[in-house]
Amino acid sequence: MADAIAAKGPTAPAPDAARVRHAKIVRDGFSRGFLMRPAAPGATSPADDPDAPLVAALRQGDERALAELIRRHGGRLRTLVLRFSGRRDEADDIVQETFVVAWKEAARWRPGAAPFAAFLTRVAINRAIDRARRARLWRWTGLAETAEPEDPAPGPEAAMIDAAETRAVLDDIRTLPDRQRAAILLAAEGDRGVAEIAATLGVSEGAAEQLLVRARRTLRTKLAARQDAGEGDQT
Amino acid sequence: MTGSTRQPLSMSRTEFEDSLDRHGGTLAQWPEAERRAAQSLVLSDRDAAAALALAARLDRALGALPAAPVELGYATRIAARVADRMAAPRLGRLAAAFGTTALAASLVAGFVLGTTLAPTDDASTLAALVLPDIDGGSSAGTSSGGTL
Repeated sequence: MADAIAAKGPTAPAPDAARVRHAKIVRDGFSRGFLMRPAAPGATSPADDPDAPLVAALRQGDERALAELIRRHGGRLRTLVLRFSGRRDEADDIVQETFVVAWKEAARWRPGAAPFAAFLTRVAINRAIDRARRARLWRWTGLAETAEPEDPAPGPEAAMIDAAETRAVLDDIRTLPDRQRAAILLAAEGDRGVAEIAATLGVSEGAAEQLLVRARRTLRTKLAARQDAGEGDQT
Repeated sequence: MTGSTRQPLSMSRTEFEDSLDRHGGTLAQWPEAERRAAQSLVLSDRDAAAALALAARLDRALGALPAAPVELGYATRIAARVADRMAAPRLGRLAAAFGTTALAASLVAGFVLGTTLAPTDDASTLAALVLPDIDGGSSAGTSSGGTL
């Protein structure tokens, strides 16, 4: 997790006041049309967003800027989506799609609107949710060739799961409804408040809080059941 | 944040568990009034204490979720795939533009040909070939066959 947080760069833990301001900027940016919103005086300055120069370069078609944005955010997004879906191929596809969108939308992005990193997160998690819905639909219609595998092959990421409990919790997370899953994973990234999670998912703060409460309740219940089962096995 | 001047409220187990799922398993991060009520409950209710411990375990597990490894060259690989995707639509747009142009050209050509070429007497010729001579003339199509 420390790696994931460290990889976030622009959204590293900040003091409370700054975090509140950041969440407000994200919320306002999303609610007003994330990219088109002109810079609001006093809201933030381009200097507040370390990605602004790269987005400006990307607007000119600079592929090196794209590579740098991917270097900054690709790992974080890959982690988020991989936690969500458990599929590396899908995670890479979604990261790729996210940066295709980033490139296409770069011309419309305005410094001073919501941070570009938050925009990337929103695109990635919503793509992941869309894919999960489509996969369920295909399975429901019986047209899917096979059920969606979870971690089809033990890859390097499996080796990083150093505790059985963490692994079990991750498995539990993947059984949650899409939006609950997305909300709890966004929260687990460490420094997101309810306002930013709500903005990322495009729901109200109250709805985001309910998603988090339900997700935590389910996860806690399952953890308790495993604990009880473990104690039962020992007796 | 609830004001610190409020007296700690009593809290039922249900309320405690709701707050647990809302604020997490670290009481220090709870709003003050709820925290004080929760502390009182935890001291007197073993099940509440167990629920708090479980929530703290969940928090630790969520904080320890694995990060995806980023292999050497990952950014370059994804950047190349993105560049390919960005190039493909351009070709698609080119093909679409070509197709539209070709369709428009064929429509114009058809209109021009249809309106400018002088009609021949093909209408009467064609009629003679396919229609019987309704006047009972000596058309090839009207032999001396009998009647029904």
